[in-house]
Amino acid sequence: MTHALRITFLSLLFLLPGCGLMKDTTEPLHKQQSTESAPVTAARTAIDEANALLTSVNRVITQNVNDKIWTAAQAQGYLNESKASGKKVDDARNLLRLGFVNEAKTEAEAIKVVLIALQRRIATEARKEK
Amino acid sequence: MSGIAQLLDIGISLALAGIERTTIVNDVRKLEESGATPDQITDALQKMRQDSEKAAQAAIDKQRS
Repeated sequence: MTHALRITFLSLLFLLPGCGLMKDTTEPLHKQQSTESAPVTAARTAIDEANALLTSVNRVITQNVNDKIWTAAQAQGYLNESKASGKKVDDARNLLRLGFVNEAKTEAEAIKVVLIALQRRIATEARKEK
Repeated sequence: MSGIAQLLDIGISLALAGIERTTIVNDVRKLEESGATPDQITDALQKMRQDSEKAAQAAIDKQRS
């Protein structure tokens, strides 16, 4: 992508109402009140947030590969980290299904911290190698 | 790569992540409005993640070939 295109793209993101950067990216995933108990809702929310964060990370990886920003090896390293976290999220989901609500929430929240760090690393590493 | 270009690139990656988040939130809203249960929404988010893993792997494999 040329510098001019980059600047145009970013300008649009900052200026156009309704575009990604103009919206609150910390908007909660769930709007509706859950009928489940508070601890189950908290555990489920942590699991859902972790899955949403992983999806976002994976899509940025795909985009950076398709744009030929990263080498296959570099992208594979990030994707492997993402897949490993995904398996842990699935474990948390299974814990929730088995009724281990607190354990599920603790597991999912711990994964989310790791994922936020991964997402930041991906952003700062994004185009360094170009 | 110049510092400014690198900052712009970082900005684009963060922006992409923000756009993806918005897309996912919108998908969850649609599910909520259609009357999906919390468990069905969790299933949908899990599938979304699994599909995104497959798409990323396919993109990497394509670049390798």
